[in-house]
Amino acid sequence: MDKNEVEKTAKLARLNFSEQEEIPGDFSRQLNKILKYIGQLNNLDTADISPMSQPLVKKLKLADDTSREFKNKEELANNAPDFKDGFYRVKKIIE
Amino acid sequence: MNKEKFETVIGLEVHIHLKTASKLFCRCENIFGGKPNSRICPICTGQPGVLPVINKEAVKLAIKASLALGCRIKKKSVFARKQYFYPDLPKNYQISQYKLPLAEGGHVYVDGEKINLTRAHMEEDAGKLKHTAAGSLVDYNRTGTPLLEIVSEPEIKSPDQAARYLKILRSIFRYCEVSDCDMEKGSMRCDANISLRKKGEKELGIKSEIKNMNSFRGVRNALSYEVKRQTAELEKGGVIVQETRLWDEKKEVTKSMRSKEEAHDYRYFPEPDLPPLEVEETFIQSIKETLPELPRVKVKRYMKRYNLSEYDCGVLTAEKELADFFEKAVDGLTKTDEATVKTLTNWITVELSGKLNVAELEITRSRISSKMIAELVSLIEDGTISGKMAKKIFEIMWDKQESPSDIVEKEGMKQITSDDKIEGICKKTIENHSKIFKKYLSGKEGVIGALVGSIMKETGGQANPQLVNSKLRELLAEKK
Repeated sequence: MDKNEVEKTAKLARLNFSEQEEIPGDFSRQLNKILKYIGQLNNLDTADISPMSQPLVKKLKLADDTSREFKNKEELANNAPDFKDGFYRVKKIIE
Repeated sequence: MNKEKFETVIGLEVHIHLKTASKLFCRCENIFGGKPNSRICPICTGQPGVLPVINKEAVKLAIKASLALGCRIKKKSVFARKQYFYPDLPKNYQISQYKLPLAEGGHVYVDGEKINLTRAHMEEDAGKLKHTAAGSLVDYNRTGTPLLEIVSEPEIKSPDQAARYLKILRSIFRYCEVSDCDMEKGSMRCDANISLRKKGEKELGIKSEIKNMNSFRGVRNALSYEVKRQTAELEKGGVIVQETRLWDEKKEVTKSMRSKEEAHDYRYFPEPDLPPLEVEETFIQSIKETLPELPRVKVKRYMKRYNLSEYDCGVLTAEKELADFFEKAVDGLTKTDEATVKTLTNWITVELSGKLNVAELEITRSRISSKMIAELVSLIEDGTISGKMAKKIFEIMWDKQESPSDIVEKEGMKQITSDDKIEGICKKTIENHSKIFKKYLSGKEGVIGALVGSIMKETGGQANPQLVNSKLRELLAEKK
């Protein structure tokens, strides 16, 4: 993973690095170390193992379809940076 | 000219809202509209630490809809996070399905042509944005409502066919009662991939993706515009840029949506909060048993049973409610031979549908019941009333909601079919129209029509015109 890829991923994830230029390079080095470590798994023969999408063995639980109102909506509004007249408000989006 | 050179290739991605009581991953109520942000909770607003729990009914409806399209239901499907930043999506990711969708394959017939489907998968809807001068306002009522996305293969050949494909999907889903599929309310939405290629070429051309089409008309117009735009570009030797374009309904143009350049890099990964969705064969079978007779099967049955045209059957079965009305009316007929059922079909698809259109009423709210229309048709078929009288009676039925036999009784509208009466009327008419009679004697047999017309006028349309016609011929022949 080179510096450019780190920068692109950071941009997509809306991560802002500080002004110091060497940081993307630092991330690049660190990420490569991690990838190399995990990359050891590529040496295993997984031909007979079906792909796993997550490590929990639990079966998916399904909920009954009955609606229930969440009462404390005020608290949800309080969590937002800008809530007024029943709407969450954000900066104008230009399309 | 253009049409000779290029052919159009369209693939559609259709989203339908599943008709559940609650949302897909939380128990907030799932209904259209309402006070903004009145049906939200920590889960659908993406508060930290909450966990999604999937709605069993949504899974059932998604499987039912997929089965109706002939898809293969996958025993194991996996939810994935589709990541993008937009205020209508408070978690900054949408829970969707990516590599392992709920259903694969399937097909839909559009005017006898088979359109294959790629896949159908479940996902949650985003919220609604309202743009004002001061800023954008977000309503999260719709956030987290269950959707099924149906992806077609690029096999649709024209904007018209795309609109018809959508109407057929709507018809199927309404039959199955999985969705209202109301494009204006957004419970059916559609994005299109459209490209052109030289006729006969196998490889697909560069496509544009069209969004923001909110009606069947919008889909047809947006895609027609796009065909013209791409044709013009290719003809002057240009290339099509692969991009997302928005349909502007007022200006009737598509516009490039440049702001979303990076939007296609969604960095999907399996949703860690949800184990894979595993469904058992018995569960799928139990859902299969709840499928109703679908429109295409109904069409075939009507064609075989009543010998009606494919067109008529298509009209009768487009909406389940209309098909139900027709079947009830058939039950109410005194005779169900082919001719009578054809007469009934015409009265339903022409006269009644016309009335409903003008009054903007659904068939379920028709002012004329299936029983009443069956009675009317039975009166026509047994000769009690003529077709012309039936039209008058029909008007009264609609206005006053009275039964046709009551109207016939009250208005004295019975058809004159007695031989004696007809003979009397005919004789008198011949006497009163000596000029016409002379013309007839001089060999102009066509004038007989004038005599029939005069009799119909005199009797207020109540004389049976066929009987009058043959009686006149008989009397005139005698006098020759």
